[in-house]
Amino acid sequence: MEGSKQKKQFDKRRFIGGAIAVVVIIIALWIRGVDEEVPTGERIQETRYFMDTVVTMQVLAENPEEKADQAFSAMKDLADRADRFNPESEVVKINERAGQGPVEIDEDVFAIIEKGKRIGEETGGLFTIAIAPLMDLWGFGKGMQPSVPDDEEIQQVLPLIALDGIELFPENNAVAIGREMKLDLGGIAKGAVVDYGMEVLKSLGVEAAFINAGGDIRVHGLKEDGTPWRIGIRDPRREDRGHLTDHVVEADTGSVVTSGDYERFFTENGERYHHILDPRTGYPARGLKSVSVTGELCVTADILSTAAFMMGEEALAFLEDYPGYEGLIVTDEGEILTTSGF
Amino acid sequence: MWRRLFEHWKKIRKGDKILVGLVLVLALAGVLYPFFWEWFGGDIGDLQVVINPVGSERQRIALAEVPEEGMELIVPGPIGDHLVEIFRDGVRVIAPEDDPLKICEKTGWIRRPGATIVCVPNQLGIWLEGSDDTGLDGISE
Repeated sequence: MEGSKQKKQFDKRRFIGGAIAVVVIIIALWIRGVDEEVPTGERIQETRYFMDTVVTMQVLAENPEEKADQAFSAMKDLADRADRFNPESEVVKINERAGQGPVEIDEDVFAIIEKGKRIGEETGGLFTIAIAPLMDLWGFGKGMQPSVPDDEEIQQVLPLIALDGIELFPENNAVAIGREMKLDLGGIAKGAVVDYGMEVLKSLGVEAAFINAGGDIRVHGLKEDGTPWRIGIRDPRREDRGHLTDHVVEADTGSVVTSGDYERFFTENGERYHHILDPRTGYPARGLKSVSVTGELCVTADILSTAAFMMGEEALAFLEDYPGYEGLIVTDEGEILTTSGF
Repeated sequence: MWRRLFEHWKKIRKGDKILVGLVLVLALAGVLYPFFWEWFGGDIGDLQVVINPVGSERQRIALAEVPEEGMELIVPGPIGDHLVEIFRDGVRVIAPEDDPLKICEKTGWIRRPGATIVCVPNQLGIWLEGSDDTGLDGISE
């Protein structure tokens, strides 16, 4: 009788202890939930056309329209300053004084050029911001009629597109390029402008944002339901834009950029020539249909995706070794290969 | 075979027969739904095509309001007219003769929200807006 009473008391204590533990766990989970700060502002989407592409922005914040507008204005302004087809741009200033010594430019465009040269050198010169003479020769410049140039002309132009012809003077944001050289930031500007827009949004205190400039995408923060942004990757094996690979990138920070040989191409004598020109040969790169790169900065992903496109299947090993960035390649044979962390 | 099936059917309880019938009706409806979705009261959704020529006013057209046979829109620009073909299930652009790369035409049909067509020399952007059932926020291409 005594023993049974003791047992009953023991069970009761255990029950109370268990209940307290459950309450503590619930409170701990609640506090953690509060700590994660799931965004509470309003989310809007706005789309505009500039940089010769469609730029879509989603902003989750208080007064999101105003913040998106500020970011769009800043992005458009930087894009104009970095556009070699805009006579007022910083790049035109440099190109017009080719071979005549350093030209002082604004710090934002200088930062893009510095990054383009530095990361371009890391790719062994496969990405070059001095590509303009070759692009113009092929007629891939704005409003030009593309055609296959003579091989002799291509060989003459190749020495002009090397990165070592660009000299940087960081102390006064000055750039000097060799005679007959010309810079074209087209392969890097979209990524740089997207990063710039995201920094503006962050400085305005937005909780979460998504910027997509023609497929160059950068995200920040979690959506209002606490989930990450989800980004599909176009399947270049199908001509229609609606088809995607099975890979979906989920992220609350970082970028996704894809370089492909679709759309910007022309056909001559039955052969297809696209606009991603290999600085080693002067001809369109062969071997891959597309390269997608993920990582923190959109500008770096932009450079790496273009450079990797020149490498054929070696692109995978290059991206595997590049710290902080991952990649997916689609070969000409239609095979999809990814780095270990993609 | 049919006779044996009939024998079995006679032995099944009434409640089970109703259940089997219900499953068959639902399966048939599932198969036929895509073909008669509009008749069943389905709609195209809230997809809108946005036509944004630089320097001119932006135009929005709800795909649900496009006639069944589709519609065409001429968008003029410095190097000629673009022909925009709009159907309930997609949009595409035919580039003017003088467009050197015809990037917009090579883009082909766009059919999902967020998909874009860019006509570079004429500074024309076209895109689809609306809710998406894929759960994707964007596409890298």
